[in-house]
Amino acid sequence: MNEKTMTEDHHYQQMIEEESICLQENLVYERPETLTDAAFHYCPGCGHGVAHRIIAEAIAELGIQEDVIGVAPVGCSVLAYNYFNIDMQEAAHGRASAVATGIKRVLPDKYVFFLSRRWRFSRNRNWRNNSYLQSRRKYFDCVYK
Amino acid sequence: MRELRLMKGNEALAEAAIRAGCDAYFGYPITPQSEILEYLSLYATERTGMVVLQAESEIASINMVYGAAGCGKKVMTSSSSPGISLMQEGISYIACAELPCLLVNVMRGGPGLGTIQPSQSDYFQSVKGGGHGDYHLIVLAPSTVQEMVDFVPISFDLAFKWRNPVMIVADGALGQMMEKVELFEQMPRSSTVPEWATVGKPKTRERNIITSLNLEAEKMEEHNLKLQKKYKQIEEQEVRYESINCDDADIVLVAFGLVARICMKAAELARDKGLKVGVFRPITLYPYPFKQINKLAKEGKRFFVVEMNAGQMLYDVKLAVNGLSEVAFHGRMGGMIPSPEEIVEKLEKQYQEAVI
Repeated sequence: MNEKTMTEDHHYQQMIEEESICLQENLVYERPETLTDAAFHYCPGCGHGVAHRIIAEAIAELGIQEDVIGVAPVGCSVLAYNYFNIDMQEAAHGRASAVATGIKRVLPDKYVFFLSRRWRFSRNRNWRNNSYLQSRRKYFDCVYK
Repeated sequence: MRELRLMKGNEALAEAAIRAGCDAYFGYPITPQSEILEYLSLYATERTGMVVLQAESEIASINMVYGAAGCGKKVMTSSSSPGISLMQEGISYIACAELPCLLVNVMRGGPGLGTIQPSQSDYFQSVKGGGHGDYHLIVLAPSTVQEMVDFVPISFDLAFKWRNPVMIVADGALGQMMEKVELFEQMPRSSTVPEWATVGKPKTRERNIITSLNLEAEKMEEHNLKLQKKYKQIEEQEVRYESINCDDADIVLVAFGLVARICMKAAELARDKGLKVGVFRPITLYPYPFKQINKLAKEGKRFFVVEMNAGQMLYDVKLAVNGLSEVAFHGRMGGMIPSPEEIVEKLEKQYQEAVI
């Protein structure tokens, strides 16, 4: 580490202290109540955690925590129910859309979403793709990722 | 006076589902049970607001049942043998997640695409677990169109009592034939929400999660032990059977569903010939009436099992008898129905010395 960088580092540390960024009143970014405090298990660089957070923030912002049911798929986000602080179901492989359809049909006033990745919708998996298309056709307010 | 009607088995079952306050039906047509979906589509939504949906496949149907049952609703699906095979993965998930629901299998001849004629060849699949893992369905076998009606509310009650899927196994003939039925009064659809249901998390409780997954082996074993404990209790409390003229019988015909009725006629014919024959009909195929059959075996009675398959329930009868007595078998396959005369003939051949 050369002398210049050390000086910059020192300068930066001073700035943080001066601005007292850690104080509660200065907090501008916090965990939404729709996320649990479990640490994500996703790999570094994976977009799942970001997507979870965005969905959770949206639910919190809309104030619909009591009216949301989520469906976790099989795959990396199979444990999504550990992270969302909402009622959730975990579906069989490729069947999240069908499970979400079942929920939405008996609870039409609730918001229902499921997590899935594009390859699980298609990639020669015709039936699964069909489930997805059918649920799109019937229920436009399901949310997809 | 209850309402009397002449109805097809499938239609009677569908009518019973509406009257039992069923909240949702998800299914896909297949002969010989398509009338269930047709009947519900025509009348259910209009009468009770029940959801009736023809899904894109049997696999989607069973997963929709999973989703809706997870919301604590009274949910059902129906199909026939090949369709039920497609549903097995979902049934295993439902059993593990302990979701109450009603599954109806109006059996047709197999294996493969088989035939659309009646059969009982899904006994193993229904009773021993067609899907993966250590699970059990509560399995009821009606033998009349009246029972196709009566078993629907019983099934829903059992499903919610034990948080376990219940299956009604009928056969193509029961589904298609018409008989007089006495219908029970319309029950209201329930508005109570079970505490475990995923209906949206209020601030007052922790979130509910419906899942069949546990990556920690210790916890998964714990869940399995819990399931096994439940099955043990079901075996102790929910056995149902019918015993007809078994007390003075030398030979007991053991049969379920429609074949039990054929056996009743066969027993009558046999008694005319001087053969003391009774009929034992298991109503619950799981839990199976092992103790009752074992008691008959201890009394020295011999057994003759009749089924529309190659001998599936036969194994359970042998388990119950446990070598104490003789067990013979006659079965028809591929959609063939045994006649009472045929059964008597086989019976006479088997137990010739008893005929004299």
